[in-house]
Amino acid sequence: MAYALTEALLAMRRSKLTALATIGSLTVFMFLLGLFLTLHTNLSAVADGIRQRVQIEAFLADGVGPEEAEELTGQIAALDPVETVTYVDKDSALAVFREHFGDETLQALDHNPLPASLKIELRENHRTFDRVEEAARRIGELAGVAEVEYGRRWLSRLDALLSAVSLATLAISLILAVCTVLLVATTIRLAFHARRQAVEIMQLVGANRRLITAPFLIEGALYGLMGGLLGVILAGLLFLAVSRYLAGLRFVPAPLLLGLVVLAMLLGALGSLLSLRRAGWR
Amino acid sequence: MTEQPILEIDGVSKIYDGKWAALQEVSLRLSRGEFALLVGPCGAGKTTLMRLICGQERPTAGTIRVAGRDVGGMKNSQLPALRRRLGIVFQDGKQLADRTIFENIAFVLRATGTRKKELTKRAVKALTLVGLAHKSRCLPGQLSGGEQRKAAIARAIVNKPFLLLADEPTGNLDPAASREILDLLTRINRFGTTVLLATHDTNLVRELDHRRIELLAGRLSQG
Repeated sequence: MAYALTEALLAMRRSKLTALATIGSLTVFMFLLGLFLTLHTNLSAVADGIRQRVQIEAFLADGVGPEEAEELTGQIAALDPVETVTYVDKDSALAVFREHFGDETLQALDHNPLPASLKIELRENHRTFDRVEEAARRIGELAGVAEVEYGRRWLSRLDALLSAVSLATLAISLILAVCTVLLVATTIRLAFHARRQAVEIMQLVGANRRLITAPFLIEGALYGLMGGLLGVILAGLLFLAVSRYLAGLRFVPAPLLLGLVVLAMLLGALGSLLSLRRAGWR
Repeated sequence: MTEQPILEIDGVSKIYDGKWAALQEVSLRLSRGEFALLVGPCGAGKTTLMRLICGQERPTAGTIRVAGRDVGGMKNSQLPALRRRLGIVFQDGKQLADRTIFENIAFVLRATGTRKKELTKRAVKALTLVGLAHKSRCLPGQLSGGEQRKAAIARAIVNKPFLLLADEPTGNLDPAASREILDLLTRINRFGTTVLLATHDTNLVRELDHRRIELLAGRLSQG
């Protein structure tokens, strides 16, 4: 292991230009991936925040009394996706309205025009557009419910945006992963070519296959590791610079960052493996 | 019971692409401790025979046994173990140009899993034997042709082989340097290593009192 590491580092030092070009490119790859993951993290956070506040309001028909409202509450609470149901009677609705808009607005009227309503919160895993819509439809069909409201437009856009960004992040990750593997494979092929005499000598003096190929595998993994680390650091620096102006911005969670670096290392090793396999060594 | 020969070659042929016969029906034996000369003009099949012995190539027909083990039938994964017990001096020296003479030897020892402590000791010992201890820090390019061959020999014997294969170790050397190489190989042979030396230079080995195996157009020539 120590031998393979020494050989790998020696090889990288001998072909500095190739090594730098490879590490540089991998750094850019990982940096881009870091940016996309950051974007995704933040959008997810924003979306989660909005979802937390999603609720359905069921306005009750005029003439629905407190007893019927209570019965409705029971029916709605029994629905599977529903977490809580809160009854807001006409007087409370008026109080809330006054609080927000002042006393004057409604003074011209001699009666309270605001309907009683039920505020319904759904369980957390039901707060996506489709589920909310479905729940709202079922609630709307209940007798005594005049109208149902929920952040329909908002929610559908948010979900569409989020799935688009998830898809884009996934696609870009895949493309960058493939690029990483191919780039390292090419570099290792060059390295293998440059050291074919050494390889031949090793073969003839009885070095076993593992010992001959280990330095190349480690070289590939090192490229991945360095590119991954540098890319993450660069993305982190950019994040720090930007977050000065955008408060509340989140960076990719640490475990994911670590995973990214480890992944880059594994991809590098995979690239080497690919190259060695093509050369008939694995 | 006589002692088992170190090298037994029985009816070996090597035919390339189904038509180019490099070796035909070659049979020979080397006893332990022997020094044999494999002579013949260029293209007679000397190098092919060497390559077959160390398992770089497989015979088309016949068997090759080194210390009783069938080389031609070995799996690729078994070859390393065999090669660790063989010393090979290549036709072109095959030194890594970017490493010192010492590093070139150390590289071989490391590649075969020698411990670090042992490594320096053995490398220095091998270099001392060939008389190059004082040049261990030189790069191959800084040595004369003769010295480069000696370095190659040092590398070949560092793993204490029981059979040393030397393919044209005196090629491109002047007579004086060639003599030194032959003396060196003779000395190594006296320490107990079996030596098979291939050369096309019949003048050089004329005065040597060793067993002579002659190859001509891929066949052993009688007499």
